[in-house]
Amino acid sequence: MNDYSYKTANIVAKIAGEYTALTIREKLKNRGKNKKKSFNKKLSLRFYKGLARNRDKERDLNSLKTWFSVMKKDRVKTFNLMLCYSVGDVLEESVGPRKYQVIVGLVIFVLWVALLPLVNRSDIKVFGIPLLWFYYVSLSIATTLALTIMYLAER
Amino acid sequence: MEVGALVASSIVFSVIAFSVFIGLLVSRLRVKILRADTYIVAGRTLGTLVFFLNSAAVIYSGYTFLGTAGYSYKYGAATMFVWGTSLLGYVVGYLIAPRVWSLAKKHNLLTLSDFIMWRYNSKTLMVLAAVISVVFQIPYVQLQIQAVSIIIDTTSYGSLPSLHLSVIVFGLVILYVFLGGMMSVALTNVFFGALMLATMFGGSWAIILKYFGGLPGLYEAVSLVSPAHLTLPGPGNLRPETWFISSVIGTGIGFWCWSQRVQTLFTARDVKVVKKGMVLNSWYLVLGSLWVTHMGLVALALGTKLRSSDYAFITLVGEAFGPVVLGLVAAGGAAASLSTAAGLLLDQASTISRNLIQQVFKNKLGDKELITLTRVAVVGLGIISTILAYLSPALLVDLLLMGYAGVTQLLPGLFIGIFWKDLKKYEVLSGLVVGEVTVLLMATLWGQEPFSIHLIIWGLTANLAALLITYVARKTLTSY
Repeated sequence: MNDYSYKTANIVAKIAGEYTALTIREKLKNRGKNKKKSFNKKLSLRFYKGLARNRDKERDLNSLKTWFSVMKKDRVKTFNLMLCYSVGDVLEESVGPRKYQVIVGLVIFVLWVALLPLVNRSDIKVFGIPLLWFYYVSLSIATTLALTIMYLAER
Repeated sequence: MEVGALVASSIVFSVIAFSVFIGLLVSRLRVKILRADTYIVAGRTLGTLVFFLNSAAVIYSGYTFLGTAGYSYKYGAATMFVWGTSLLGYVVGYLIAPRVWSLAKKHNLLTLSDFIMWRYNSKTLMVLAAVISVVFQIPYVQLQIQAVSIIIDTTSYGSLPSLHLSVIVFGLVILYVFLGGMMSVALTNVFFGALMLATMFGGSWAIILKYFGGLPGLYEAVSLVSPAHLTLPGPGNLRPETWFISSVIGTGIGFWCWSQRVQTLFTARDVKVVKKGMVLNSWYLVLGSLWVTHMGLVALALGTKLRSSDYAFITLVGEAFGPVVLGLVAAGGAAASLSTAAGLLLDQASTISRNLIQQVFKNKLGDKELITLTRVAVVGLGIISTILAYLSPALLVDLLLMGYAGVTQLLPGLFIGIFWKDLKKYEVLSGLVVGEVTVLLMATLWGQEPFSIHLIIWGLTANLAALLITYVARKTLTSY
């Protein structure tokens, strides 16, 4: 997919998402206040989790189908077209890493190799463990923690 | 046969029999395997737990269990590059694997070579990638058979024909891979993966605490016996810092160039499962493999007599805790080897049937025929690996390192090609050929690490240089 169609798809997805949310809000105007509030909250959460973060294609499509079922019939055709287009391609593009994740990855790589000349010493011990071994055991645990935090931050 | 040998061997064989039973049971439950993706990548249905333990069992092999302990016994601190390999591999995987998985799902890709074919639309490149994957995996399968042989030899105290028995055990693995495909492999690997983790963590720490009361005591004892083991370049100045750095970088970025690892990625249910798998696998290393590498140091500090360095871990367990614990830990070692062998066999077979036969000669081959062809390839490859296990035994680690340098030449085509959209088959093909030739020539002329820089780096440098030259040449030619 080229850059132009990717950008278009993103824009379409955004417009369609906002429009869908607005339409559903209108539709629910006459319903109970609490119900509307919780529905809107749920809707926006699901929508933005689904499209902005784009993690699970099937789940998102199912969510969209649910939203469409609430909408008026004449609008469904339009939005189906727009959103199928956007979901199909935006999802594929967005499973790539985020910038901060790439930076964290690079930092981890650097830590594994760049400090070796500094820590490769037999005369220094930390908690009774030679510096080199202490560094790499700690770095292994730190790398694992960094991956864990990266995953948790994405949720 | 002594009572101790009988007890330990019985435990190992019971565990192997149980795992084969699981594999066969799963294959019976999945009698109607109608689709190729069900047989080869479990229909992309695996959830977090099964995906994680399956990938861990495929990744952590007999080399992790026996080879890394042996490596620390021989080379000391240099063994820590193994931690970097896996952990940096998971970092790379966390960043790239979700994209690879989503493309594979969208385009129904089943093997690494499928991915190459889809990305570059070149049969030549696909065939080359398939051949590289299969050829460099052969010593890796052979290595697993040898690891099982070492385990049987140790648990039976040398009283059983270990190589013959390991081949029979391997035959049983072939049987369940043949019948159940990835579903059998994955569910057997859940059992194997859990057993490996428990035995690596439990066995290693039990030994460290029993003899030294903790890590400081162990390092203190090693510093008295051989202080060279605690820093680089290690004993005999064999592993300088340049070697460590080049090994960590090379094997870390090349981690996902192994075809069987890419295939396990394809089994995940969704992207979330892939990412969780990466995180959990890194914990697997920190809890298990990290401590097994210390077993070489333990053997060194205690002055344990070893038949070869690869015997370090299980010899120590046998001496410290007797036959029952030896049997359990050895079963974990056998699990590590067999699970990897199963994953490798299935990947090799599916690469041959799908990429070297279906996509080259018979494009209209249906799913049923493809599954049959894969099954035939499983048996054929099993026989070849068995013959090689008898004919050419070699050191575990050296074989692995040669394989690593070979498969890592696929890196530009696989991962750079995902993000660099202007990269075409001509560049990747020229880079791959030059990279492989460099690896083979340098390994033949200068050995595994010319000038103390890992072979992977030499190969990749030549590979990328050829790739860039071809790219510039193509751009120049097309601009006229």
